[in-house]
Amino acid sequence: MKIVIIGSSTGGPYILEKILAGFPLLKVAIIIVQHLPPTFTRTFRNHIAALTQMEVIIINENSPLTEGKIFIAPAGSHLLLEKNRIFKLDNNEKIHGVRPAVDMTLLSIQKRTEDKIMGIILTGMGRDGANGLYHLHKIGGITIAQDPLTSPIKSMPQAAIETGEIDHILNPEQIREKIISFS
Amino acid sequence: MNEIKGDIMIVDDDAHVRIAVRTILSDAGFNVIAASSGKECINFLKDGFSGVLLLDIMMPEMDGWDTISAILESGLEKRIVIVMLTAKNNPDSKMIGLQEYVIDYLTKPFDNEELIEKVGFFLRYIPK
Amino acid sequence: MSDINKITRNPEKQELSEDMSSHDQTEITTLLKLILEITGSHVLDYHPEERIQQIISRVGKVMNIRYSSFLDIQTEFEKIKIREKYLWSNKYGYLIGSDFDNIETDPCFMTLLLQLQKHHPIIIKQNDTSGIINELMRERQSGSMIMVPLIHNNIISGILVFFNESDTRSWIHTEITTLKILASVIETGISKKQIEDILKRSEKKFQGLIDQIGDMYFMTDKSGFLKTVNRSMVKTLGYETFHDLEGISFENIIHPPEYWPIFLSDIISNEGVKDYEIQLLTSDNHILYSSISCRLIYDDEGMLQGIEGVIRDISRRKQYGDLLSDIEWKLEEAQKIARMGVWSYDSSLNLFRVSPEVFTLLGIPAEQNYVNLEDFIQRSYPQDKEKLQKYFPNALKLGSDFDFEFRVSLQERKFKYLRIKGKPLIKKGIKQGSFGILQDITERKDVEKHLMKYATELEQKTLELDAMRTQLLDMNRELDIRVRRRTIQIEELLKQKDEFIQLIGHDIKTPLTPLVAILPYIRKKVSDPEIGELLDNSIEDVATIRKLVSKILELAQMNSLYMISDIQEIAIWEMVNQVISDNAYLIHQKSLEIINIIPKNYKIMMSPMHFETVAGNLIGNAIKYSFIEGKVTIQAQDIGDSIVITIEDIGIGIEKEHITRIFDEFYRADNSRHERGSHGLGLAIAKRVVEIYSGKISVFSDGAGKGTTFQVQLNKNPDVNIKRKSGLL
Repeated sequence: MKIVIIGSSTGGPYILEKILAGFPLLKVAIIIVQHLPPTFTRTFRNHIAALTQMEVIIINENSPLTEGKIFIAPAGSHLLLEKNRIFKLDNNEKIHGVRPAVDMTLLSIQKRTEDKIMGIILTGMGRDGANGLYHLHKIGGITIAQDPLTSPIKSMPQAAIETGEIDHILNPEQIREKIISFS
Repeated sequence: MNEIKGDIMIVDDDAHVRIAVRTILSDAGFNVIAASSGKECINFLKDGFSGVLLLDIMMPEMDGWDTISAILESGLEKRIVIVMLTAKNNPDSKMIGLQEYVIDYLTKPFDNEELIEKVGFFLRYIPK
Repeated sequence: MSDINKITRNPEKQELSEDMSSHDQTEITTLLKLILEITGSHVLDYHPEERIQQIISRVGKVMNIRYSSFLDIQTEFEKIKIREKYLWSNKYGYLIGSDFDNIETDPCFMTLLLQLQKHHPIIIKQNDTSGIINELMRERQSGSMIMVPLIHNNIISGILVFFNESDTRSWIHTEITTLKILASVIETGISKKQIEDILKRSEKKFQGLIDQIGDMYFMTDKSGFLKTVNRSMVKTLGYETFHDLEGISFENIIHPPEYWPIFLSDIISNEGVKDYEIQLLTSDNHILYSSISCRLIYDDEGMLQGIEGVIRDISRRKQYGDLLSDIEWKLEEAQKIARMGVWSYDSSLNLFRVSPEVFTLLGIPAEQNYVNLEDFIQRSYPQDKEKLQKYFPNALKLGSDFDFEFRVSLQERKFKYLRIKGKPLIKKGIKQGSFGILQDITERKDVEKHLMKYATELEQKTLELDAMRTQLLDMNRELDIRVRRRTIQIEELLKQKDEFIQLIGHDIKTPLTPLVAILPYIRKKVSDPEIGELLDNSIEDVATIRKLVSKILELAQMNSLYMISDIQEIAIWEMVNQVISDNAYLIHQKSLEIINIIPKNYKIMMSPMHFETVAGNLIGNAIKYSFIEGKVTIQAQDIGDSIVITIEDIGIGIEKEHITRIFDEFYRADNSRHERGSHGLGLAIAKRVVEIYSGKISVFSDGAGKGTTFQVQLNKNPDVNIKRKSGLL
């Protein structure tokens, strides 16, 4: 299965809409971990859904991961994947001050020969995603960081880049193309 | 003219900045109010303001983050989206823990076009 | 000797013999018989003359008796020659021939006569008138007699006696007495001869012995001619046989020959010599160092007979001696060098024996030629006297091992250091004293003193160094703390500066913001073209300010050592193309030809933002300072681990006096022309960026109007510290 995991914080929604605008149905599962207040998750989901032909789902516990869908992590819980297939929600403490932390999601990814994983970290404050991408890269996934120059807040992409395990540093257009070509 | 019109609150201690923002955004069709401090902002929120908050960070007494914290404490965050509009290129660590409430981050001086576009964009996020 | 002749041809002799008639004849015959008997001959020789002659001559020879004449004995039949007068020998105590006066006094003679009586001596009467015998006898007065010893086998076995006929009666008396005496004499002589023979035999044995000993044995006659030598002498002197040496004068074997008289006189004046060193000459002219001991030998009459002695080859001894003296010399020298003397002490005699050095060491004056215990003590340095007095005598007495140092006074309060070592002297298992060395160790002591001084100094220095070290450590620690503090301070300052920058930035950006926002707004509202244009200018100015502010803040940031952390592989050609397209408007306006001939595969590791800063600035400048329809060429060259990018224009160029300052902050080559968008910071920033990557930037221009060439050398893989200040980027 092809899985794309995107983590983003402040500045993310705008950029994500840019990236996902006009996405056809891609044979890929996209997971979005966007830091948002709970009240905005639905709105966000709706906006993304309006942009793309892919189905956009807010993740529930035990919901399966399937290709052709965009999964949005709910606010307030960490998102984990079990065996790269089943979503689990975790309410443990905040990581780097956030919950959901995309690190948790990425770190829960397992190396499975039948899976191809891509991890993307976009704009945001703090360091969320750096460790996750490091791990992902180590198990053979593709790692992308948004070009800090295009990031409203450079912190998260910078931290990811500093791990040295980033395959590509791309602007939003390039990320869009990357995802499409990945699928 | 954008379809979605809404309310924008500019929170900045500098009068000219407030005037500038108000002028531009009004001209663009938005309804803009200006607050000169975090405190004033809170008051406006208490008064029922809903819309996009353009929040400066570097303000005396209550900086942008303090203002957000205060908003959260007062539970006034539900009908607003917060966009920082600041001269600080790089936010400091005070943002950590609050970032999920900040939907975007704009630096001064801003591009009028960019501001207008983003404000319209974020108004879509205001829950009805 | 005509008398003899006279005597011989004497017919009267025959008479004589006829007178004797049968008695005489019988007696002669008896004598002859006797002689024969004695001589052991079996043949009765009727030519007895020769026989007796032989006997006599033989006798004479053996007895070493000189004789000068024979008297003829006229017998009945023939003459018998007899040698008379000189046949005598002191040795045998009898007289033959002359000087008969002593006969009577000789006690041995009587015995001899008695002996002879048994054998009936023959009396040969002599004519008064003729005969030498008569004459001799007459000369000798009455009672003279001539005796001829009879020797057989070297033993005196008889004697022929001839009497002078005178008064027969008295003569007979006398003759008997004489004969008796003669007998005893002869007997003594015989026994003496026997003894001599024994001696000679034992001498022969002795000689045999002498032959076997290593030492050389010799005997000379009184003139120094070698009579007898032993085998050793023959061999040692390198000769073959005894004969080679016997008969040679000693002078011939002594070296140098001139020494012989001296040697001889020494021998004679001292009755011989002992362990006298001489040099002998061998048969092949080699010198033999020898030691000779000899005595004078006399005959029975006390006459010097010769020299008898023993010679020892001491050449080896000489060698050894030389060696020894060489060794001794060396030892002495060594002692001198070691400034060491040896001493020994006999406790029973309380006697010191010392080598010459000891005198020197103790400073004993030349006149004194002995050393005793007191010398040691008295000559020692006052401070050491007590110590020496305490230990030295005891150590000597007890015969113990000891080793101590003491000072010996020299003049003027100077002293020298001596070291005395002693060991017990044990002879036949008993401690008989001590022996050891005495050594001058002043030099050593001096060295020691210096060493001590040096060591003390060194110690002191070490202490000082230690103190310094401690100080240094403290200083280091302090420095460390200070550095740490300073670093913290610096970091603080940097942080402060950054905060300041932020504040400044904020303060600038705040008024800037309205300007940037409002002016375009106003412009929109203005319809008046003139005002519109003015506003356009203002908008441009404001944009300039905005860029400037941005650049300033960027520069300020770089000062705080922020490093960009998005270093990645960038394709230079592509990056440059982007910069060119960024400047598209101006390029079009000025109708410039921009040529980008950087090879498309050239890649370097750099932050794209930084590359953009540098390339943007340089290309921007090239475009800005080009004339209308000018040309800008951008190319690159791979020089191994770096790439050199060249940006060349044919624009206004840079004058020589400006070129060195072109990279200075805020420096503008032309201050009069207020070029829009030119703030003088671009190159400074570009240089700063290049420096971050350890690259090089340089500028060339032939002068005003002659264009400008910028060159940037960048490492393909720069060693850039990718450090990030947390939370501040």
